[in-house]
Amino acid sequence: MSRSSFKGISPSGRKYNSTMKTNVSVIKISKTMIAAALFMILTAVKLLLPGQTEAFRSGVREIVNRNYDYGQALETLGERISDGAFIQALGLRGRENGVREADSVPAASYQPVTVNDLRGELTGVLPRDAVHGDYTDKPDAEAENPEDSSGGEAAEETIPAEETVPEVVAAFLETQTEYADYEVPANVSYNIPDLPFAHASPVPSYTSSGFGFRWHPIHEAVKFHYGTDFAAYSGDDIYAFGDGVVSLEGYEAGYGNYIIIDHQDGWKTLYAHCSTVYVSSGQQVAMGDKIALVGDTGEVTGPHLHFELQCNGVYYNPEYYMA
Amino acid sequence: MRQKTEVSVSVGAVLLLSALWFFFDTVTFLALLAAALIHETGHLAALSFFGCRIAGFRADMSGAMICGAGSLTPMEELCSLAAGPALGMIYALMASAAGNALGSSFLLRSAGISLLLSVFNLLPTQPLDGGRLLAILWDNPRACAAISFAVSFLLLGCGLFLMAKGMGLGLFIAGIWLMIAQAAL
Repeated sequence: MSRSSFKGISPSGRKYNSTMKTNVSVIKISKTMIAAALFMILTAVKLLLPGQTEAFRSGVREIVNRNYDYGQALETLGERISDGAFIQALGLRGRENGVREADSVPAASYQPVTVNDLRGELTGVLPRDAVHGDYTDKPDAEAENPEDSSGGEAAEETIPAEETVPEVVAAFLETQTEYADYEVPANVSYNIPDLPFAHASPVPSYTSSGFGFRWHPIHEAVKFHYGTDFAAYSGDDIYAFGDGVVSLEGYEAGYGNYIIIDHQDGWKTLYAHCSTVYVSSGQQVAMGDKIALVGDTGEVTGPHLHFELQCNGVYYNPEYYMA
Repeated sequence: MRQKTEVSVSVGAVLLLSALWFFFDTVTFLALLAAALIHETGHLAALSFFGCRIAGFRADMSGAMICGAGSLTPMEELCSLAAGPALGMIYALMASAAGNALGSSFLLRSAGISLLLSVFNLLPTQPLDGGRLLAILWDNPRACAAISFAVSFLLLGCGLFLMAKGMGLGLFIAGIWLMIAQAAL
């Protein structure tokens, strides 16, 4: 074995030059075995995980967005590598430890840029007008809006109920003023567009944690909350927000058991942390249909319904549409 | 008489790169490229240290690979193979410390990726560094192929388990990729 193996593993299999004859059959058999194994595994996936298979059909993008957040996981791993425990385990740094920890303020790694990076990748595919012309840039302007709303040319199409809307938005923006330093993610709009379908509250309950920036109880940092949490008991009924088709029904580490319903014109709603799910992918549902039960699956501190409302990748505040 | 250094990039490599580009966001993708570059630099540095001429750089479906020409002792080969993951781990430590200090999302991510990449590459399965290490240590192609197959099968199993637990498709896809790469060997 004096020959460099760097050369040896060329795809053409030149490595086995000297012992070619004996190895060809071995290689052929193992290739067949691998192909057969792949086939069996894919069949198993299809049969055992119909939800995940359905996910492939409902668009690769959807999977990438809805699945485990690898970017965040890798970043967390990166953070941990140089924190005290890991280094000490390797015995590479001893008493320097205390100094380093003080240097690196934990909050520094949770810059708004981070939040933005995680979800903001959609920027390129967002409909421009959905993001622009909303209230995100000027939280201070909320007081002016009710007065001069009559002359809102750009706002006209997206904000039909000019009298009441700005008040709702203003009330919401009021709650966000303390997070003014954080950059609002690119795939979020604080607008209140008119929904093209009839809708009703998914649970008869009140908001326990609203849309927008908030102190995340588990990650212990300020994070953007892409939905609204409704306080509810385990086993309470969850109703479909509007008519539509269940596009995805599955399980994810963060969301727990969740359902995504496709409504009209690109509108989608997501229902997370369910204990029981009554619908399956592809099923037609009507507004008010019982689709699931409230639970505490996934990353939660207690049972509740996490409800998201989005249109073509832009997230809106669901509370605007609650009765 | 000077021989040319061959650089070849196959269709598979392009496909792999575009798939990664598609699945990851920009920051993660660039962080991955940085980590991969550091890894190959490790191999390259060790090879030049042992006075081995670099015959070529090959990128195909199973990743990037540096082709050395000339003879190395098995010990030198071992070191060259281990140099990639080793430099990757050192880089992970440094990038993590720097990333934490600067609050740089890019550095933290490339640190995490570099650590994962190094550990993954040490798995005793072809065509990863670990599998090649095994092939040097144990001159028994049949057994090495069997171990390679078993390890990638195990990886697929773990991937399937994680997928069912809602932790994403990553490891499962890595397992499938390994199997395809082995079939193409």
